[in-house]
Amino acid sequence: MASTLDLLKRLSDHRVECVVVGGVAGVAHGSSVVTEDVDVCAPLSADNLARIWAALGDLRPRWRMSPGRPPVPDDPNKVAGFKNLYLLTDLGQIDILSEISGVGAYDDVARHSIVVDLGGVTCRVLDIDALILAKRAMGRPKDLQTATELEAIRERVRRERRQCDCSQDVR
Amino acid sequence: MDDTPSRRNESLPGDAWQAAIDYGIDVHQLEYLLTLTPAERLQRHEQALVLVRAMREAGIRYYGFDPRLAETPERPSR
Repeated sequence: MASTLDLLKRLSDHRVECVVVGGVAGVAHGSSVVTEDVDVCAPLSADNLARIWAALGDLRPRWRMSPGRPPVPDDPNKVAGFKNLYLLTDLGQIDILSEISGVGAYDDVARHSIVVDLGGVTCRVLDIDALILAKRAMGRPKDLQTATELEAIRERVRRERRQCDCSQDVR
Repeated sequence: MDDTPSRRNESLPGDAWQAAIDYGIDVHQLEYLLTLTPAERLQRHEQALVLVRAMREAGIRYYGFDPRLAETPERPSR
């Protein structure tokens, strides 16, 4: 069975430098939208590409957007200079992006990330403010739906935190 | 009873929450999801994804092709 969690665990186990973005990040924040691919933002440096290849190598990674879905090269140096990697693996789809619309390149994305325990896997996830910016910047109907959900969630969470603070003041 | 203006406002849906309702989002589902931890949300998402994939496979078996693919050459008439 394809598993988002298994893909993330592999990245974590191989110490891949990355931040979970996109729909899965939305799910972590409370979005109800179901997404089929895992999107991560990662620096596509030689070191990190080597770690990505080690994490995914035995999952038959293929180019998802290319006709016939050919396998990726064994040598990660051959994809040096690529901006994004759209992959299909035996555990599902994973998009590895070097920058995120509305947020910026990896360093900006990392600065706007939080550490979340996703059930045995601890990983960095884009924070809700940056995720809303990214979804608004993408602008597709499904992104706007997620952004609307996340704005409602953010408002509710902030309100509950305020109420919690008030009740602590009373005590 | 605390009936100060600030307390009254806290009991009403906020602008973003109301916008989500107006957009057609099932905010009751959001309320439920907010009671879960991120790990529980991801686990629930995985279960939903399994169902989505099973239903998709069922649809392909029924139609004889993947109806999402625009380039499907021949579609059986029904």
